[in-house]
Amino acid sequence: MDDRFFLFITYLALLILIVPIAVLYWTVGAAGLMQAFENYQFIESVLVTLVGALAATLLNVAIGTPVAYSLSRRLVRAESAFYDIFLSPVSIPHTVVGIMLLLAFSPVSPLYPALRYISPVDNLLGLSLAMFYVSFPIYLMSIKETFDKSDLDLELFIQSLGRSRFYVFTRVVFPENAGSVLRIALLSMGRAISEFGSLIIIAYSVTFLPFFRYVMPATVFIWYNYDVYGLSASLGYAAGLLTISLLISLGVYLLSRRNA
Amino acid sequence: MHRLELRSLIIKREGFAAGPFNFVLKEGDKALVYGPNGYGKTTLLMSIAGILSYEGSVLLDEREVRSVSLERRGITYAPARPSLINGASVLDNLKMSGNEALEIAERFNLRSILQVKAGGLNEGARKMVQIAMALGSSSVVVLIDEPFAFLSLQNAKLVLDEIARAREKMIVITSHERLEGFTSYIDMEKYQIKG
Repeated sequence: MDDRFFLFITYLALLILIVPIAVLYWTVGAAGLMQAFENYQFIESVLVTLVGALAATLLNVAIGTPVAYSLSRRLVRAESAFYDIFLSPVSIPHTVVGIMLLLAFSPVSPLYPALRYISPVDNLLGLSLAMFYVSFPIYLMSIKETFDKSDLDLELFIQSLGRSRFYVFTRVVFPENAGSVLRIALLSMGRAISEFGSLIIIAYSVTFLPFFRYVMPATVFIWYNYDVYGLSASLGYAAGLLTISLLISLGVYLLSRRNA
Repeated sequence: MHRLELRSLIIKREGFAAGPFNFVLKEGDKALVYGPNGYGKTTLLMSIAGILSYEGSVLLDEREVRSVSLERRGITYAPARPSLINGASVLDNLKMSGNEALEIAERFNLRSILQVKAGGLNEGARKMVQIAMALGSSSVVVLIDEPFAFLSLQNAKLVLDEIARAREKMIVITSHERLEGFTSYIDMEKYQIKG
């Protein structure tokens, strides 16, 4: 068998990934793709998705980066238990995530007294929150791996010069790993863009005046067109969103090459 | 007058132990820790810095070092690998330490590379910058692991001169061999705990 088994299995996996992409583009064609991007509703849905994904990504960077650092440097007790909890959204079905978030803001929630005047339903808050919830584990996992590999000797040295850990984090660790942070942020943004399950529950049709009025996120928009008008009506939009996702993957790849 | 005291100090690391170390350093004292690879020189330095846990006591001015956070201990630890902020210039790295580091860098003939990013330097130059930062810090104790690694004889001499010049600090360095000119010596071979 020697190496041929591994080569075979690798090429087979590649084929399984690439064939559906190729077939979609082949079926839609360049004209169909252009047509999708000429549809105002689709453009709006892509825009609202990108805005929500960007907000979720900023939240990931702002919250996930220090959390990953504190776990990597074991600043909290039982850090592996914390880590497992933070990763748990990976295995929670995303429609369940949508319902959970909905309940968190409802009168049955202990947070209700603080959140009673805030509603996440069908607005940018719900959209970003759901996207954040499902992309956070991916961001955390990857950024923690980066910190695990970063130069601990340097941190100890700078701290022993009299600088606080916060200073070391903001002035040394973050800038030294900025390339990785950007790459991983882009990766988590890709995950946020592809979210569907929780969005149909909490952000089916987003209103954020004066910019968006009853706009479906792109994944919901595609599903809606498929469900109501059939497969052929959703193909162009599917290829359009796929193109955006692939461009993000390309960005992640280029940044990885630059950091390597 | 500052004072560093190791009292019945036993250092440990994965299947290795050495000690008990009992010695006192006062301001201006320079100690050399020497011995072959694997005899615990780095472990001893990291224990004195309070980075690794230990048995016994490491007291700086009668205060256990591990009871104080690393940035407030007044003990600078420069690791053997010349770790610097690669994305920052040599000047910005030196500024992490203080003005005295800039003066030392001047005496180390580093002026021409001040604007160069640390990531672009060779190991010897990085080591010189790191030592300038360590000796230029406001800490009363400076621990430098393998200061002469990567250095030319000429630069090693500059470092030794600078160590001798630091009269208000207690300096502990490591080396594979015994060197002259130090006030105290710790021969690691004598402190190995068998079994």
